[in-house]
Amino acid sequence: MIGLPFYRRLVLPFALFLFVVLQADAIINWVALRDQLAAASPWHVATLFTTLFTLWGVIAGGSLRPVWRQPAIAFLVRQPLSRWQWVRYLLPPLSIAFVPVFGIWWLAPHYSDAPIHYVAFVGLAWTTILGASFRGVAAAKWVATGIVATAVLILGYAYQPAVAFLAAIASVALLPLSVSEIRNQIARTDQVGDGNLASISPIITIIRRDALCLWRVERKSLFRMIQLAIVVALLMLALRINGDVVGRETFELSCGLLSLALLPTYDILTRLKSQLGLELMRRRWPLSYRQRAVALLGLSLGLAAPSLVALCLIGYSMGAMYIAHFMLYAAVSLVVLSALFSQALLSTAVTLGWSLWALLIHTILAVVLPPWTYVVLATFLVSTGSLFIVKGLRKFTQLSEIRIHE
Amino acid sequence: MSSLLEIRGLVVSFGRSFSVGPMTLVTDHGAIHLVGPNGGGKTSLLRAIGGELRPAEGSVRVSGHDVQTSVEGRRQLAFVPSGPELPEFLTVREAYQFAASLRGSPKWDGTPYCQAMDLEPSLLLGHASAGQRRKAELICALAADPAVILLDETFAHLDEQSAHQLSEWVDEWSVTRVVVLTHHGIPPIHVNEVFSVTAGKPVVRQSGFM
Repeated sequence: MIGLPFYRRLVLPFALFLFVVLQADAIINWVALRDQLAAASPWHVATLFTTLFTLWGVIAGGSLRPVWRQPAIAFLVRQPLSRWQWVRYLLPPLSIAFVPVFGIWWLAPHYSDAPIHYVAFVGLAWTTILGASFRGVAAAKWVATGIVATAVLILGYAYQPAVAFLAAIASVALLPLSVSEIRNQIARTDQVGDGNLASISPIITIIRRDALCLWRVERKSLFRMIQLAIVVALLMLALRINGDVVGRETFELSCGLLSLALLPTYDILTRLKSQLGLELMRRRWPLSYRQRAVALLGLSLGLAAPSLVALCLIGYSMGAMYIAHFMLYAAVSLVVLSALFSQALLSTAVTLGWSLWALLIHTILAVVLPPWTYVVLATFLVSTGSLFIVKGLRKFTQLSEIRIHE
Repeated sequence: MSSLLEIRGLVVSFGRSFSVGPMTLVTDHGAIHLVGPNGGGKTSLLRAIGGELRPAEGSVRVSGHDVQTSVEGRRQLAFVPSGPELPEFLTVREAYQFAASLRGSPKWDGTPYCQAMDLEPSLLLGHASAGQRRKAELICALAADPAVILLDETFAHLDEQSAHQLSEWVDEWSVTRVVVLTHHGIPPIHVNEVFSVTAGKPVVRQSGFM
């Protein structure tokens, strides 16, 4: 739970460390360097090794930081674990981070027995590694403690070998003190940014709640929508620059590109459904099906907005009439998409194929029909689609009744 | 003048396999205790009263509004399920803001209730224990001060201190509101009426209570 994610993140820093060592190996005689360091002034030695320990500590700590933010380990906060139990459970899986420190410390002048020499000073790196995995003031505090302790004790060790015993005591003493902060680091994941759901309009409350769900659970999908909007905008821009498209051609292109951009909207709505389950709409809520339908349309519009705005801005050369025509096309597409989604609420199968066909056919009709004929069709589709959304939501709550009973 | 809660001939059934009721109750305030064996239909009745399930027969009205058809009726009603139902991605504060906004009181502040229940408003429900989630469900039910509160397995998962706090609140609410609750055993509150709920049988008022 802690070790494996840490190892995965440590692969790159380890590869980097090995790369540096192998490159240095070609130009450095390690034994000669060790002799040179033995003859160097204690201040130089202390500065060099503190710097190297800190560098590795910050890199390894950076790999450990995301581990504390995993939702899977949040339950640890509530466990009645003492500081020493934390040390006992954490030290073995995290000890792999000490391997480069061992290598670095091999270069240092040995003034005491090898076991004391290694355990005392390598152990000091724990504070820096753990400190670098924290955030904010706690990170600054523990990294500073690690740096000061390492520098002072290495300096003292150069003057008096017995300081190695003091370093060993400091390493052991700092272990439980530094782990006590982990609980606060994990607890921080409980406190997500505050999303204000208070609104005088229940429709806005529902839209905000759904958007919050997507932001917290399906953030990657939202970013993909923005990426898609950028791609669509760039395509439109490229066609305008190279193809010299204006008026109706721009309108047709915009419709085609928007239909592509709308497909992930359907996918995201499906993901929202699987995240919310019965909380998508409950019969006991003081909310009408019509209000829920409007909220669903509002969310769809919000998801499609980046592509829609990009196409309107870049395709402004189509003229006011065609922009109005295009906006009508977008509105109908969103209603059709939401209607298909609400009908699919009852089934577990993904009906992406249907939405693809519906959008394709609608796009062809929007492009080939004369504007006024399309307005009549759009009115029909919007009114029928809205009815289907309400009907789908009603059926969904009826299905919920059966699930509640089961 | 209509009563606060009017339940008339309420029957809940799922096909031919399960049925409970009819139940009739007209009241303006008080604590109503539904008792009965496991699987007797207490939760189903509560859900039907709360508008979650459609009754096979009968009606439920809150201040004259039918909870099945009227948003206004459901606005004055709160239901606390026995298990966790709130989405895990919300914090406690967001959850009660959501409930309060749907009931038309977005400015309702649940912080005093959180403090009384020793619950951090910024706690993410996905990281909360069963007891903490139960407290969050209770606070959401209290959002916007509903007139009728339905509590399923009232004291489930609550620690002693929180259970005591809830008992005090129920005693306080039952003076001006209607609290319908289920609890196995004798609840540590003053109960005004007790109804016996058994599957396949009418819901009857137990003797000793008016």
